[in-house]
Amino acid sequence: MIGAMGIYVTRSKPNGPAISSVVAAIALVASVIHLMAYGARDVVDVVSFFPGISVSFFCDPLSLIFAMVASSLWGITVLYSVGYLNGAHEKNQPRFFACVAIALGATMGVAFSANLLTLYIFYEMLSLSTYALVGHHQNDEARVGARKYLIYLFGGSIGLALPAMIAVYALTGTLSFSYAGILPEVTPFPVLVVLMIMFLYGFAKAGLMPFHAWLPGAMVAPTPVSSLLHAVAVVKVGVFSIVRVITGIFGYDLINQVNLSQVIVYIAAFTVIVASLMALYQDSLKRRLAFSTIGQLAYIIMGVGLATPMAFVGGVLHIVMHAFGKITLFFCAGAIYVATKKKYVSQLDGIGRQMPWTMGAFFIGSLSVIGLPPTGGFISKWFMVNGALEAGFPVIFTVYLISSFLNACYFLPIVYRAFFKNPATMDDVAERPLLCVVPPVITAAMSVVLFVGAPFIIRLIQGIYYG
Amino acid sequence: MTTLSYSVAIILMTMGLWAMLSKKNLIKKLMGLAIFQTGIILFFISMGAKEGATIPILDHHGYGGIYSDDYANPLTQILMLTAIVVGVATLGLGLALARKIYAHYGSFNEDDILANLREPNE
Amino acid sequence: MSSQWAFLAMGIPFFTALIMGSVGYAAPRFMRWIGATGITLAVFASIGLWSTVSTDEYVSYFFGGWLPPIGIALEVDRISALMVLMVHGVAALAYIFSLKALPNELPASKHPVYYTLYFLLISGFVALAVTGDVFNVYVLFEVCALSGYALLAMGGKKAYVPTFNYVLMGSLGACFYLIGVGYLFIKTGTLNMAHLADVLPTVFFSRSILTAFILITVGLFVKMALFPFHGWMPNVYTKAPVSTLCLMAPLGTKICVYVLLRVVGYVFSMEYMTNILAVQPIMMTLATLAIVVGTLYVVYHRHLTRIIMFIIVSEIGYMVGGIFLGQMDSVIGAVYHIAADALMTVTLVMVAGVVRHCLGGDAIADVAMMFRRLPTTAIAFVIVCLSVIGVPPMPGFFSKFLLIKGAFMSGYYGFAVALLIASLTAVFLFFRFFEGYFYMKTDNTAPSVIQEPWAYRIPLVVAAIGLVGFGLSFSYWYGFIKLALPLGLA
Repeated sequence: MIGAMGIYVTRSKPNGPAISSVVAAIALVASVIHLMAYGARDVVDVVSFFPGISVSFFCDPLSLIFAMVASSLWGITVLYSVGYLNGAHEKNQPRFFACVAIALGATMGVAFSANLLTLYIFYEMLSLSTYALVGHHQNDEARVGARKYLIYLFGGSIGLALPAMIAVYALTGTLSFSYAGILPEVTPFPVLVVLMIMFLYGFAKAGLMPFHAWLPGAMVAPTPVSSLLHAVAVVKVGVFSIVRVITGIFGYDLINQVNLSQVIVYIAAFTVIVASLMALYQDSLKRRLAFSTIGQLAYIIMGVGLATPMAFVGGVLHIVMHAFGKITLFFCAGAIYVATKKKYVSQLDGIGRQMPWTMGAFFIGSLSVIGLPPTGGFISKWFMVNGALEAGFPVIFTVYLISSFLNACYFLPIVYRAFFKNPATMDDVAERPLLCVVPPVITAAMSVVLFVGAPFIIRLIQGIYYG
Repeated sequence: MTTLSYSVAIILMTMGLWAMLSKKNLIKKLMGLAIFQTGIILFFISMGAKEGATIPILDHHGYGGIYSDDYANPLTQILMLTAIVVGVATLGLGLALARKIYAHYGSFNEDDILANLREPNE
Repeated sequence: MSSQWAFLAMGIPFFTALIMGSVGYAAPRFMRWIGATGITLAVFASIGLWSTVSTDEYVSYFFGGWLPPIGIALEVDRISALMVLMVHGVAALAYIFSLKALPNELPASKHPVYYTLYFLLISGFVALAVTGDVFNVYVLFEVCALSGYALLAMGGKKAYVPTFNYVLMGSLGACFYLIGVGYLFIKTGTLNMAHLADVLPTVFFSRSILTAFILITVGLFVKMALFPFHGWMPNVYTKAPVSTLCLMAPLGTKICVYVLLRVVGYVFSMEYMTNILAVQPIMMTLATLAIVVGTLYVVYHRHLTRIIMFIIVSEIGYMVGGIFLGQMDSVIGAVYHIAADALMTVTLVMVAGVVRHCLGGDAIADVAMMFRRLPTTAIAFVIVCLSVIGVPPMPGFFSKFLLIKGAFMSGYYGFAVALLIASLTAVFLFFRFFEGYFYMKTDNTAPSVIQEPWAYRIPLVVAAIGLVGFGLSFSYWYGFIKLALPLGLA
């Protein structure tokens, strides 16, 4: 297992361009699978600083699921990036791939962190490495986006998460995750609420409103970055961190005991509704996807925050499902841009006939994000909705339904436009390049496969909750 | 007697401090520093002084016993010997600097120097 | 033998200074070798001292065999050993750096004088760290200060006026300290630190002791440039030669913080400070203000050297705050931070120096060029910035972690907030430089990479590696410092 750890840290940071990235990605996926097969719950201390403070890794189903999603999508994204970057004639490709690789290494670090400090270290590393990616175009627009990105992420992590972490350490003397929770039961309620809010907003990568504004801003990045980082790695790291904090620091026992769910759930519910409404008004395709992401992330937090078995399974499952669904959508947006230079929803009339594969994938991806069968999104949403009822939050139940409706409202018109409206002008547009088309199709197919394969993952997750 | 010497010490210190902080002329500032240090020296010496005691030099080689009450405390005097040396060195260095400043700015007055000092780039 | 290390650590640079002074004019060629030998031996001595205290915990050296309270003693515990190590480590880096930097700034005829003072200054710093006598502290302050004034004034005509002000302020601070020592002596009749600590509790409630405490702390605050006594520092340091700065900026103020810890923690005792005087709120306010004000100035200035100066102002606030929080962890954090910050500051100053010499200025735009033209410097800069920000596992993170934890435990939330603000500002500061490079308009006449001279590169690389190593070995230092803490800490 330590050997496998070594692979992440070393192999996931190649300096070379695409090929070595692909090799590393395959190695990474292989080692995650290897871990899955032989995974033990050992804690490996790498460096110990003082009691309760060390850099250490461990491996549980939650980290495995997350690592698996991130690493497999990385492989696909690298393929896609090759197509995209060449198609869009981007500069500085080696730097691009190196930064993506570092970001992925950091994501893996987050996934396997055994305590809050380790998680925090890799969280910051991720912020730094993606900064260069967001600002990749090196023009003024990128500068503004990147600066905003930085302000929100560092403001959150240093201003809120770090003091919260230190407060936890001062209260408990340890930072290791434990499913029983590490905070003592006698902690006064207001302190718990404040800590929880500090963590929720401190991990600003999760994009809870009003700490969401960096995400649309960061859409200035090249599309592969948006897709991998802002649909999968970065935002999911934020969510994953929050999940870890909820389950590993607070613990479900404590949360149920003092009814902390309310705090989490209502903050998230607010974000879900507002983000969905805002998505309706975005004309830029990528921005619309970004707002959709904000809403979907809040779903996950809501699910995990409900603190019932059903909702937890749904929430964690949604990390996976949404990752595949959303990355498909981003890939499609990028493919459209490479082929036609079109960025706006209103320009997409009739494009489905010229790019049937791309838009077909887009359709499946949006089905998954909306939560309709036969895609994976349906299953995770099903669990979350049931969980809301189980936990006795009818309001949240309604929120899920309304927002699903809104999701449909902002995705389906795009599909409708693309396939059934006549384009204003008939350009000579075709599917190209190959490497931009295949990846979205693969991920879309994966969304469907996950519908079928969900029970396997569900068993894994249930293992966490009950184990 | 001791009250008097302490009072003088305090007055000297205050004078010196006042001169250092409020005078515009660099030389006067240095004089203030010197007065301040003199005050401190007096303060320390007063500490070691005793009514009716003499300088702490043993001239009779212990005939008839040595009584510490007969001698002022030598320690404070030794300390001040050091402090005087330090003070002289500081003063010398300050004067050297003041000379350099005068050579360059043509004035000992702080205001004139500051007016000359403003540079556009800093 | 083991007790001799304490003397050697102090004496070697002192004798090097003497030899420099006499040989320098006669045989200038040998000068740099004498210096190199001296500094190497001194580093060995400090390592020897360190390994001795690691096992014995305590080393005393009595001059001439006179035992205290009559004789003069050097007393080395683990914290002072760490300080000695810090002084010699930083001095060694600064010395190598100065080999190349100094010829750019001063004519060769002045080098013998310069290095004589330079080593005198080093020995003064070391002596401050090991002395066990409150009056000696005053004398050593002046030894450091006098050699320091002269070194600073060598920065040329721009440096005269700020240095003159520094002479006044520095002497004033030292004099305040001296009067305070006088009051202590009146009441207790002793100057030895350990002896004072024994005697003082019997007279804790005396008004003289209160006066002594106030005068000594104020004097030290002036010396260490704690806000609002910081006015002299940025001006004088920015005008000084870079090679002087490498020595003065990291050590000059830090060693005063160490003396503060000695005096407050060991002589007066923490109990006196927190329970009897109850000055903690005032001191914490000062420390918090220092951090905030320093941070604000950092944002405002646009030259790297100046920015470094105000970083120092706010870092002083960290340490003073850590000492006065009076928690075990916060004091460990403060001590650790003294050493960490010395290392960080010397690296930053060296970076600024390299940029100034190689690129001709240290405004933000010049510094930004560094990423393209001076790769080694840029890497060192990034590492030290991460530490200033407090990104784990850099040393800056751990000290900040302990300080914030201490602030939470004792309820000074304002201090914790100030620390966080300082971190955030450091992030934006760093990214201002980085952005300057990243979004620079590229033209075809892009200048090529400059290879730094070895005298620049070696200390930079060593300092950067040292920083990382110091951070990674945190658990060792935590245990190391913990055993030497003053009594009465929770």
